[in-house]
Amino acid sequence: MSDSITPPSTIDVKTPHSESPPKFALLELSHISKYFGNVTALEDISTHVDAGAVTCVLGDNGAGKSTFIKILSGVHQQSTGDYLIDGTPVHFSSPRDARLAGIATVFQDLAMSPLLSVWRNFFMGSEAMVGPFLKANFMRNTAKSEMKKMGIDVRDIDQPVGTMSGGERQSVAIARAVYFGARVLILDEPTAALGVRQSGVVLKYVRAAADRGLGVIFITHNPHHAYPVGDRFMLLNRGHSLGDFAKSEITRDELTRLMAGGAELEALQHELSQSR
Amino acid sequence: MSVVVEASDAEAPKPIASDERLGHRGPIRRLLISPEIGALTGAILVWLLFWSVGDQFGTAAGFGNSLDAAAPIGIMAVAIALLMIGGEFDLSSGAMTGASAVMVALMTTSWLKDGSNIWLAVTASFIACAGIGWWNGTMVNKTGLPSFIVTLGTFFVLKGAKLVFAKRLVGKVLIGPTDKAGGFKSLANIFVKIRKYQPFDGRDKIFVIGAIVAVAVLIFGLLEQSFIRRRTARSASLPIAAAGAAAAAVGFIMLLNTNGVGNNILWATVCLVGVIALIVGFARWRYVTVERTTLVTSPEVLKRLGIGCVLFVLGIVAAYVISRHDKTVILTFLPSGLRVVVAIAAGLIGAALAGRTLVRTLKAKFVILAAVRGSIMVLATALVMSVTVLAALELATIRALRAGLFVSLCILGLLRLLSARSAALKVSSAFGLAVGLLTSVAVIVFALVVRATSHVHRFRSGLLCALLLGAAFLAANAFLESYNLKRTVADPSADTWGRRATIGGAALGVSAMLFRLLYSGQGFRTWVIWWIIITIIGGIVLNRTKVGNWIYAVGGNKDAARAIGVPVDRVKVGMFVTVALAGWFVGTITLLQLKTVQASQGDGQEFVFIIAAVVGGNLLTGGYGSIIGASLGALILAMVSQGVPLALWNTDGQFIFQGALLLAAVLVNNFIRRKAQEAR
Repeated sequence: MSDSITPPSTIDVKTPHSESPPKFALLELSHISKYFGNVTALEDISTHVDAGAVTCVLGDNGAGKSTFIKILSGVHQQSTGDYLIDGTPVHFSSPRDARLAGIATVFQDLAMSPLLSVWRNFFMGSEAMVGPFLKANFMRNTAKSEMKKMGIDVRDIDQPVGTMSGGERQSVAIARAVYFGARVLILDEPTAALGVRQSGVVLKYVRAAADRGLGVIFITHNPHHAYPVGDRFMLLNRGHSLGDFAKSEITRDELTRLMAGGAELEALQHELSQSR
Repeated sequence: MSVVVEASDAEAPKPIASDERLGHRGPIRRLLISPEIGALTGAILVWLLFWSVGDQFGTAAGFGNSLDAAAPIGIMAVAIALLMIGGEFDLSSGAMTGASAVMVALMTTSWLKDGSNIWLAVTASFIACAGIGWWNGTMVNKTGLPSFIVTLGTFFVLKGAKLVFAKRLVGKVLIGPTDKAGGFKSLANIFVKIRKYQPFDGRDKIFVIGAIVAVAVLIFGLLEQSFIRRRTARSASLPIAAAGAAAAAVGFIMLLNTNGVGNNILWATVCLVGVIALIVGFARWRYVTVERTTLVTSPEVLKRLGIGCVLFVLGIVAAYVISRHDKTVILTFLPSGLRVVVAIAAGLIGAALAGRTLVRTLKAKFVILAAVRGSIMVLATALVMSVTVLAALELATIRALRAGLFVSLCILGLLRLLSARSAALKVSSAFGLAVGLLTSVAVIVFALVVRATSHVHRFRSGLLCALLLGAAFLAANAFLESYNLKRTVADPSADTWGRRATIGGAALGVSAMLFRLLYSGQGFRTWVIWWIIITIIGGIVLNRTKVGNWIYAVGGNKDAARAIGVPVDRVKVGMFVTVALAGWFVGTITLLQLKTVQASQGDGQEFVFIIAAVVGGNLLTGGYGSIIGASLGALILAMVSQGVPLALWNTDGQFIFQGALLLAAVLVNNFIRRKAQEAR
C-alpha cells in the first residue's frame, strides 16, 4: 500500500481486501495508554476493526475520544501498548505517516473550501494532470461516479461545496478519503452537527464505506446513531474502557444505558419523577 | 445498502454531463452568474456613457488610447487578482512598479554609464524584485500577520528607498534619460514600440462579413441551447427561412448600393424583415413548436402593458413638447415661490420614504433610541433630497430636462413592456407574441424619434442602427418564444455544441472588430499584446493547472488546504513573487516608454490595481474571482481616464468616478455571487 495515496489511473471499482481471509484484524489497538505528564488521558484501551466492518467508539464529553482519534491518526503517540496494522506494530510520527499507511481521518471541520466546486474540493491537493494541465473532465466524472458508488448522487458536480448541506459535505469528505486509497476511515463525530434526517444520510454513507471493504472507526456520543451501523462497540468513560462488545453481545438499550452512565441515569430519572 | 453500491458498481463510469434533477440553465442565465459579468456590463456601460458624451471616444483612435492606458494596469491587475483569489493583498505592488523602473534607471545612468547594456540592469532588477516578493510572502507566512500590514511596511520602505537612492546616486528625484544605454532600443522594440498597420481598404468589408457570420453563429448557438431539437425536421418551414435569407441578402446589397433616405428605409426594412423571417423559419424547421393557442389575455398583464404604453407615450410627448434648444437654467425659470414648493415637496418625499422604513421598524419594537435615531434619519433624508433636487435644478437646463424626461420615461416604459411580455407569455403564447411585437414597434418609434430630434450625428446614425437591429431581434425573439417550446432540461450534446457555437461566434465577432481596429491606421503599443498574452496565461494557470486549484484552495480555506496536503506556504510565496515580477515587468516597460522616471513613480498605483481586480469580480476575501474580469476592470479604469478628458469634464473628477465604480462593482458582484449560489 505504499502507493495508496496516489489516485488510481483508471476508475476501477475498488476491490475489497477480501481475497485472502484476514488472519489479523485490519487495525488493532492492544492495551493502549496515553499520559500527558501526570494526567491520564487513556488507560488500557483495546479494540479492533476488520475490513468491511464498523467499530463505534462511544463516549461522552471528556471521555478521551479526541486523544483516541489523535493517536489513531498519528497526531499523538501512545505512551504504552501496541498499535497494529495487519498484525504488525506500527509507529506513526506524523499524520502524514498515518495517511500513507491508508488511515484517513475525516475531522469535524472537514477540510473543504466552501466557494470551490465539489470536484475541485474532491481532488484538492491530489489533482489529476495531463502534462501541466488539469484533467478537468476526468476529475468531474470521477468525483461524480465515486460519490455515486457511495450512494450519493450529486446534482451538480460544479456546485460550490458551500451550498451543500452538512451531511452532503460529510459525504464528500468520506468519498474523497475512500477514493484516495484509505483502508481505515476514522470519522470524528460526523453526525454531531446534523439534524435527524441528515444524520441518517451520513450513517448510510458510513455503512456504504464499510461495504466497500474499508474498516471504519466511527466516533460518536450518540448510541442511537452508533447501534444501527456498528459491528463492534467500544465505550469510553473518563479515559477507561467500559468494554468492547460485538454487536451480538449487546443490545441497543444496554448500550444506551452504559453510555449514559448506567446507574447514574436511572437515579436521575427517579429523581425527576419524584420532583414532578 | 449493498444494493445501491452494486447497482452503481455494475455500470461502467461513463461521462456524466448532466443530471435530470438539475434544472436547465439557459445560456443567458449562465452568463449572468459568471464572475466576469459585472466587469463586462460595466465595460459596456462605461463605453456607452463616454461614447454618447465625447466626440473622440468610440473612434478607433480613442479605443487604441484606452488599450494603451489599460495594458500596464491590466498586467498588474492579473497578478493582483491571482493574489486576491489566494486570499492575500499586496499594497507594495504600486511602489514595486516604481522601484523596478527606478532601479533600472539608476543602474543605467550612474553605474553602468553610457554604452553599457540595459539588459544587465533589467536582469538585476528582476532578481531584486523577485527577492522583495519572496520577502513579502515569507514574512506573511512566518509572522502570520495580515498581508495588509506586511506589504504596507514594504510599500513605505520602497517609497523611502527610491528617494534615498535617487538623491544619493544622481542628486535629484528625476532619473534619466536612459535611452542612451545599450540595448534600450531593442528592449523598447519588444515592449513599447507603437505598432501601426497601413489602413487597409477592404477592412470594412471583411469586418461586416465577419460580424454577420459571427452573429449568425452566435444566434445558432443560443437557439441550440434554448430550444428542443425536432426528431424529424419540418420541411414546410424551410421556404420561409429561404425567402427570409433571400430578402435579407437583397435588402443588404441594395442598402449598400443605393442612396437617399427613402431607399435606405425601404431596403433596411426588407433586410430586417428578411432576417426575422430567416431566424423564425429556421427555428420552426429545426425545433419543436407549440400548438397554436387562442389569444387569452389577463387583466393584470394588460394593466402592466397599459402603464408601459402610457409611460412611453409620455416620454415621446415630452420630447416634442419641451424645446430642445432652450438652454435656460430651470431654477431661474421657476419663480422663487415655486422653488420653495419644489424643495419642500422633494423633502417631503424623502421624509415619506425614510418614514416608511421607520414605521416598519417601530411596529416591530418600540424603543426610544430607535425612535430618535429614526427621526434623525427621516430629517436627514428629507434634507438630502431637497438639497439634491435644488442642486439638480440649479444645474439643469430645459434642454437637459427634455433629454432626461424623454430617455428615462421611454426606457421605463420599454422595461415595463418587456416585463409585460414575459408575463403575457405565461398567459398564452399568442398574447406573448402580440405584446412582444408591440415592444418591438415601440423600440422602432423610439429610434425614429431620436433620429428626428437629436442634433448629435452619432445618435442619428449609430444609435439609430443599433436600436433598429435591437427591434428586429426583439421581434424575432417574440416569434421564437411564442412559436417554439423552450427547453427546461439539459441536453448534453446540444448544450456542448450550442456553447461552442456561442463562444465561437463571440470570439469571431471580437476578432472581426479587432481586425478592423488594427487596420484603421491607428497605432497601439506592443505592450497591449503582452497584456493579452499575460491575461490568457493567467486565466489558464488559474483554471486549468494544479497551481490554480491550489490558489483557489488557499484563498477559500487555508487550513483545509493545508490539512489536505496543499503546500500553502509555497503557494503564497509564489503568488507574492508573481505580483512582484509583474511589478518588475510593468516598471520596466513604463521606463522604456517614459525614458525618464520620477522617484515617486508608481506610489499609490496599488489602489488602481486593486480597484481593477475588484471591479473584475475578484472577492476581497479570496477563493473566488476571474482573471479576465481583472483585465476588463483595468480596461474600464483606462476608459474612464481617457473618457473623462474627452468628454471635457473636470479631469480631477475621474477619481470620484473610480471610487463610485469600485462601490458599484462590489455591490453588483456580491449580488451576482449570491445569485450564483442560489441558482445551483
